[in-house]
Amino acid sequence: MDNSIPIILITGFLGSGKTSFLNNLLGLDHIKEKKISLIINEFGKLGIDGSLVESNEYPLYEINKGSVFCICVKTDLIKTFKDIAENVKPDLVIIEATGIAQPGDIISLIKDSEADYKFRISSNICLVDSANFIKVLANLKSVKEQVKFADAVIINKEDLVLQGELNIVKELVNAINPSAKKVTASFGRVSPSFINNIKHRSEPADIISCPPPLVYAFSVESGKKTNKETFLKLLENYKNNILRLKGTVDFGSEKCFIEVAGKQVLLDNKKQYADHTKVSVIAWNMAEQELKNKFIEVCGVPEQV
Amino acid sequence: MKSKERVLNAINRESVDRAPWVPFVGCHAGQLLGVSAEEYLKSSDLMFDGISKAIELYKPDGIPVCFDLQVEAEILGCDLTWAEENPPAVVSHPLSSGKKLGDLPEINSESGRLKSILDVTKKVRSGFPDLAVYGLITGPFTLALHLYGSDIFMEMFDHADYVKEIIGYCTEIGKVISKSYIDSGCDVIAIVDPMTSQIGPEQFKEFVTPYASSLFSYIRELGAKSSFFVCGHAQQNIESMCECRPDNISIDENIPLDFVRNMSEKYKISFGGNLQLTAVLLLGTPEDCQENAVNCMETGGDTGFILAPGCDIPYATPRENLESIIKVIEDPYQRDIIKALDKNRNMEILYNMRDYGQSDKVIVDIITLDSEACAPCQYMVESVKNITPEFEGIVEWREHKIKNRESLIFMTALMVRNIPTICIDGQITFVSQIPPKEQLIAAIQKRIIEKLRLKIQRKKKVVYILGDDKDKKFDSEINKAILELGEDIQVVNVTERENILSYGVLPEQTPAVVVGKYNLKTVRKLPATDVIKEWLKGE
Repeated sequence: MDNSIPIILITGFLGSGKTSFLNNLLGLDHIKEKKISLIINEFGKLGIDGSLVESNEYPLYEINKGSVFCICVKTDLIKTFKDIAENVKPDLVIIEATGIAQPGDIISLIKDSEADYKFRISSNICLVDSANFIKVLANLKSVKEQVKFADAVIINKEDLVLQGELNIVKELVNAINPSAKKVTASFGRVSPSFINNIKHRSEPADIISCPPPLVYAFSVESGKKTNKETFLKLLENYKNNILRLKGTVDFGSEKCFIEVAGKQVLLDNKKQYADHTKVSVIAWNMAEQELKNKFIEVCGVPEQV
Repeated sequence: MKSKERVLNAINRESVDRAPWVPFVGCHAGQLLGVSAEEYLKSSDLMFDGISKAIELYKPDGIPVCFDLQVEAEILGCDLTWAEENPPAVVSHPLSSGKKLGDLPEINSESGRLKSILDVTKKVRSGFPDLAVYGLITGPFTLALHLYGSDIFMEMFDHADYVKEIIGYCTEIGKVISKSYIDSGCDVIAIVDPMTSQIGPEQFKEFVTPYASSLFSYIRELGAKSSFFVCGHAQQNIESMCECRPDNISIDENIPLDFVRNMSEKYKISFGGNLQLTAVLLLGTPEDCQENAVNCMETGGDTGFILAPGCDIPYATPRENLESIIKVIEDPYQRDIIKALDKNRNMEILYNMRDYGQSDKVIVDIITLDSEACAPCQYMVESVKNITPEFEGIVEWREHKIKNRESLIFMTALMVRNIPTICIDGQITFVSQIPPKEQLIAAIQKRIIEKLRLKIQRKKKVVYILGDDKDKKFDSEINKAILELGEDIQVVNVTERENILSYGVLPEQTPAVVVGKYNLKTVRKLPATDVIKEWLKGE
């Protein structure tokens, strides 16, 4: 019989709704009846619903209160696991990880410390902020790892994005982790049956090797004029690759602020980001240099910026 | 070769007599003094005492003055929360709560905790002139994160120019502090920028390279050496780090050291790392630490390598773990032992030594590396060899060279962990020391006496006279026999009916004589059931 204590690991970038989800989780009937220890690593006002905490008297551990540095968090986590295993002996541990945590580090930490045989990950749940996921994914490695290693992904804040953008986020999440359970949500609210049916998939914690990025970001800058029609055609031709675009393009007769989100193009010649062509692009499903070269061709720069 | 010269030579990729050792002792020194991390990092007196203590215990070639990546952030207006056993954590970000860069306070050598850190730097410099002194500063990208918060990763897309402005500002802060450290006596300025491990190579080139390069150039102009220190999963950026032209890059266990070595060789810079902080230094044994150190040194090679932990040493790291490392750095013999023992790692224990030492002779086993190749082993073997004849055949000695697999298995079976070791009848008796002749003789004699006692106990006899020996005839004859034999045998009279019956003798068959022999089988050790069965069958 496995006497190890199950752990629910909650990951997701800052603002993705981890705390809201945690509050909802703590309110579920089959969770409420358990003796739980909470480990919180996201700084800020705690955010845990006080009534839920008080009524159930959860032992609550705040890990290093905001530090994002791995070694400080690790040593605190080791002590916390030891204390929980020896003194608290709960039915369940819930960890809300820091926004830039890499799940592999937590998993390998459980193995490194003597907690290995006293704990097991029962589910690894990742919250995704629909409104900002693409931007963060392009710049922050750990966000992709959080999705990749999740057993379930909750695509949160669906109420804050248009359907087109939401569809792209779902497509991205699916590409990163085809086998995880997925659901869209607002305020971190999901059905109890979704939670109950999450099955943990053990993955090796070796995520050190970095495969080529699925999503990438680059900038293009030019002092030359750009043909508007050609530029808009470029966006149309690669609309399935361009996830986000933002900047200013100098079309000669006018300089326009331009934004692409959810395959929708927004042009505004009353607003300027810069006084020359300067765009930031987040894209995927195509070789980065190839797409960059297309932009360089169209924007008229002799060499990449 | 003096320590400072050793470190600087390694950084310059010039020859060294051995790998330099630079433990990154930060708030761990608080543990050495018995104070919390907070007390330690807030007191210049404690910091100097802690560094001095660390130098005394760990015998480093170089050491940082302070390892706290929140010093600048605190001066610039970030709130900190303090901990017992960790550096503080930043918990507020002025640039994301309404402040502009122009609103932030000026930073100079008199600001905040920097002033006391610089005072400590000067004291360490003058107190330890032969040591390489490291000044650590928070890298521009990490400092920008402190000032803005995690949303900076989104702003890198939405407002890239503003993010670059913040990073540029942080770079200028870095230059001010670097100069202050150098003016106070630092030899090496380490730019510690762990958050760069979070971004990919393209973002690194855009948001880190121009700024870090500028900083390393500046440090070079001031005549000091520089190190680019990034912990975390940073392998994707190692080449970009080298392209920033630091004199040294330092990494943690998340990146293979051979990968970094090869990249450093390509760019002709030095590199350092990467002792494992948690599994080894914090949670391991001194032997684990030595093994990790030897593996790092073997991989790092002898050009441009500096042995160091992957990051700030955890507060609670046992001091003996760090103390053990210098032994393998300085002593090639110890390194050879560790390398030989490393083969032991996956060995099955094939022998059950539980009853080892039951023979009539006393067996002295000497576990060595190789007495023909190393002096300490040779002396140990000779010490035993020279006294054995005095025991006239009672003592037999054997050498087990752990370079041979069978000897490694034997060593493991006897639970020997250090080389050389002398075991007497399977008991570890002398470890890593050549015993003086008198002590060795005394130890062997003690074992001989012990064996004799056991032998006597094993052969003990009792004679039971069952029934009423009215004339004491039986008693008399038996005692006469015992006297003539010269043995120590007990005579017991058994008269109770039940007791007589328990010997399988009827009362009407008395008087009767029963002779009992005790055969002592074990003391203080619980045998297996199978062993007990064999004993019983044998009787």
